[in-house]
Amino acid sequence: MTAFDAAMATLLADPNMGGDAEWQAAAGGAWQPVRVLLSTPAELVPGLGATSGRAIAVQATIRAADLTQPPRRGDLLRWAGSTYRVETVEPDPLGLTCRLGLARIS
Amino acid sequence: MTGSVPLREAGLAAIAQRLTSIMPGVVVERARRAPVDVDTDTLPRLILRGEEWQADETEEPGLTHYRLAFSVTGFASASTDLAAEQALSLLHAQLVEAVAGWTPSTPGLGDVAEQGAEFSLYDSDASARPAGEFLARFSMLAIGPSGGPWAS
Repeated sequence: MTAFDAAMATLLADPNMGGDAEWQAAAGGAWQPVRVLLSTPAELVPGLGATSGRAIAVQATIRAADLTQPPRRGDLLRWAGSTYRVETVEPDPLGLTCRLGLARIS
Repeated sequence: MTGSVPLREAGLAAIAQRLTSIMPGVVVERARRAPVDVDTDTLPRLILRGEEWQADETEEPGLTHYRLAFSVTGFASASTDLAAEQALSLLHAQLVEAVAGWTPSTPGLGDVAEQGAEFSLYDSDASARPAGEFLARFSMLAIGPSGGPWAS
């Protein structure tokens, strides 16, 4: 484990920063426990008219090593009674973590 | 001739009243400046705003034919991306059905004409909730005595 990987593992394990979630591949299969770092940026959406929209995005950062296969669009992530579908996957340059853009489905 | 209610305000008020009565399940607001929060505000929602005001004194002696442009921004959400797109289409169709070709009963106000619309489904990077908006443009004919743009 590299220093960067160890740092991310520490951040994810920290109860003040990371949280418990479950991940399921798009193809199905068993739910797998993972640790996630969540962020919920709320920003103005570039709108069409004078009255713009504001929405909340949900992003989760996970360690690639925690998953049995690389995450991809259509995977599911759930925690705290809500389920989200993975819409975007942004791996870091070292391939240690992925930032997932999520869509709430329930 | 002077009055207390400008033709422009009478037209916009008539449109808002029409939308409220024809579309009871939709929240209708006028002249909202604050962004619509698709996570906390009740949807579907329509925002009505007055736009350009054009005058034409050549149509009729002693009268001015005004063209009141207004826009309606519609916001909708659903549980899936496709359902959100369909909800936007439905809301827009209901809006057009409610106002296009309709003539208010207020004296001086003429029929409403549809001008066009733009649609936008929010990116997932910006909104975890499948949601989007459209901007529909309309115009309304208003006729008043030259130099007297009053409805009453």
